[in-house]
Amino acid sequence: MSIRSALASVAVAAVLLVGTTADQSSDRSARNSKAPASEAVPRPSVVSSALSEPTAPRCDDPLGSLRPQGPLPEPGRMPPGSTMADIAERGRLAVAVGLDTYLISSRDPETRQLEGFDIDIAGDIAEAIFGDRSRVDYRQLDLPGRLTAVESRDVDLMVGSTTITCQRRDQVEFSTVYYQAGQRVLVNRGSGVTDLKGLAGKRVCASRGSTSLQTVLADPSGPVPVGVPSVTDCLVMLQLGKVDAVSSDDALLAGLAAQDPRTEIVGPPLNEEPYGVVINPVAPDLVRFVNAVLERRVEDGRWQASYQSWLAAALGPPPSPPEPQYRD
Amino acid sequence: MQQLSQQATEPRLAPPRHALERLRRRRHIDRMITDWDTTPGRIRVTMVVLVLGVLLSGGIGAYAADARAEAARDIEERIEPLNADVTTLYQSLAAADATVTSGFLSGTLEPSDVRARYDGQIADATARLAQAGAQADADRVTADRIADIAAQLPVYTGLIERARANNRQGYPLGLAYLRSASELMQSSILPEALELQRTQADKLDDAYPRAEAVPVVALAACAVSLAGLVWAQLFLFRRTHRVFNIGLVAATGTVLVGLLWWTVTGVQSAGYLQESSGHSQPVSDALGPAQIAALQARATESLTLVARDGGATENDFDAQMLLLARDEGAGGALGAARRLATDQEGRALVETAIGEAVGYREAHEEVRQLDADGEYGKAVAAALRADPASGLTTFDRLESALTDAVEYEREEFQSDINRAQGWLTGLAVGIGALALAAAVGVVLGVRSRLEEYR
Repeated sequence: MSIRSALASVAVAAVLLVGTTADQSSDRSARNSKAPASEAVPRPSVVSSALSEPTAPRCDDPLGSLRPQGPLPEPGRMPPGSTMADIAERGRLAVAVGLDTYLISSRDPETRQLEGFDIDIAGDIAEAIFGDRSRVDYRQLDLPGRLTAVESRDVDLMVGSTTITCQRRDQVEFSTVYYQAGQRVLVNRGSGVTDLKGLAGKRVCASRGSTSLQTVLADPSGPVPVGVPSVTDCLVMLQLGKVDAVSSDDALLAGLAAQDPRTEIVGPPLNEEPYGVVINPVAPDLVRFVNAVLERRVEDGRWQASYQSWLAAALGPPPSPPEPQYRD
Repeated sequence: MQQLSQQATEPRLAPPRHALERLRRRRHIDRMITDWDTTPGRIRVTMVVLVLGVLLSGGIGAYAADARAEAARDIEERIEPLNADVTTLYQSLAAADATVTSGFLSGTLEPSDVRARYDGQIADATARLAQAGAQADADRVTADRIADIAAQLPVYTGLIERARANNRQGYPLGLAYLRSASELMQSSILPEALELQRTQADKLDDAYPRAEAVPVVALAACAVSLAGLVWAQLFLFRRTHRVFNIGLVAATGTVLVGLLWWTVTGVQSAGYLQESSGHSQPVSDALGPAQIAALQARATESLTLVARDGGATENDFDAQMLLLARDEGAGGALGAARRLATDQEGRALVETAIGEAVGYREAHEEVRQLDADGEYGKAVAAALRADPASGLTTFDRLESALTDAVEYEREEFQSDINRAQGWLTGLAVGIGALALAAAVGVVLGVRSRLEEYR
């Protein structure tokens, strides 16, 4: 149901937007360009939920996670009574990942195996528990579905290109930052657009419930946000001419650009989108364990190798891996 | 009175020709009225009334016969074919979506037989659209709907081609295109086709009472003519003391034959029309919708697997399966089909389909369980493999069971409506001819009596 109704509302929104864009752009030129976006643009209903979300509560250090306790235990020898021991007993690690996102978490259509930058991390965690990186049950869900799955403990953890925010921190726990993403813009080559500012009054697509959508919504230059279930649906909208640009994190845009050579990623990062592994707060031992796995994969070069094989082609040579921050 | 009219004929100037004509006619009527108290006068009036009565009741009977034959022809040649066309259109569209989606389950290379099936279903849908469009000329709403579907179909196939092109390169973008194509089909094209199909089904339901209506006016007119003929014979018997007037007896017999013909034919054709309706109704009201629900469920199942939304569209599947067969086939479209089936064989075919629906549901649950357990590869294999319990084979069996049931009802419908029409053949012309013959009988019979008064 969700995908159909979601796409239906997108289609409705797209139609609404097509109908209103012309008026808006002429309106805008007459107005003060610094007018708040929320006044200048009648927002389509699809993003109203993003607007109504409460503003993020102040939290001092959203990036500070729980420090690993000692070295990682040997695979197959999890501390008795720990969350990891429960998982080891069950025999499989349940991981929520994103809907097909090329280079991040998408299924190779031939082998039917999931692969990508996020999947490498899930495999490394499984390897640390079982000594076997294939013992993972993946659940592909949209972002709200992924967060719900972690909260309801349907999965042990989620590796789903999820930005660490204070607001989300109320419901779930995050690992340390495993990738420092930044929101950028994907446009058709030759469109002349060089950043989000050049998209005033234009339709800009982002995945629903994402921080990217809120950034587009809040941008003072007044782009018209369009929300869809997954960022790959944004590329469909762009190719069909229903939106003028896609705005999302560089890692996700890299996956879109790799599927359509007639598009390019433009503009400087609009913000910092630190990605973390999402875990239920009732399992702090699993958070510490995952943080230890993340530290080790940076030390032994697996982080760099993973970046090299998935993202370097679109985003350039690997940056230095993010420094882990701990609150205790 | 005669003097009065004679005065009126004295022209001051030469009167126009038609005035003379009118006067002559008036004089004729005047004579009939003045002759009323004479026996020949009364006989003459009786003759005119009888001739008019016989011709009138024959005309009404012929008109009623023609109306019924027309209604039956309308059902057979126009309404039911258009109904069948839009049902097949609806079904081809749903089938194309189910086929193409299941093709994506096989990976980057769509199996050639799946591709051929999809092409055939799209071609079929296009042909049905053209046929339905040609037949729906007079009906604005239907024509608009058909035009609407015709406009969206190329958009759908365009999205599918993009989905294929991207899928072939191994890009998940292909699946996003497939989702948006399927979304267009399921939430826009199919509902429109459903409306079309419902409108036609309603028209079919409306046409039957028209075809089966008892011709009350014709029967009443016929009874009045018969009564008149009998009264005339009694009257002549009293005046002339002759028992039989051959002309009037023949006329009475002819009217009786007409009445009998109409009654027997009416009862027989209504019976066959009733039976044909009993075979078309299960298709348009239950089996057709059941086929669509099954196809939409199958498309949803495949889409859930290929679009890999972790079962988020499972609610759609459940909804379609409930539409198909609720409570082990007691409810839903198949439950309705079983209730609507008018004979043993039709019921048996529906029951087979119900059994297959239960089998498909079980196969589907196995697939979902595997997918929910994270065994994606095994789930796809369970949906595609060739053994008797797989999603693929159970669905194929369900589909062919439904097709068998539909085909049986269609054939029965065709033979019943043909029989109904067979009975109605020549009825209108025959009734008209009988009325003329009766009128001639009246004239001949009465004139022979009149001549005795000269």
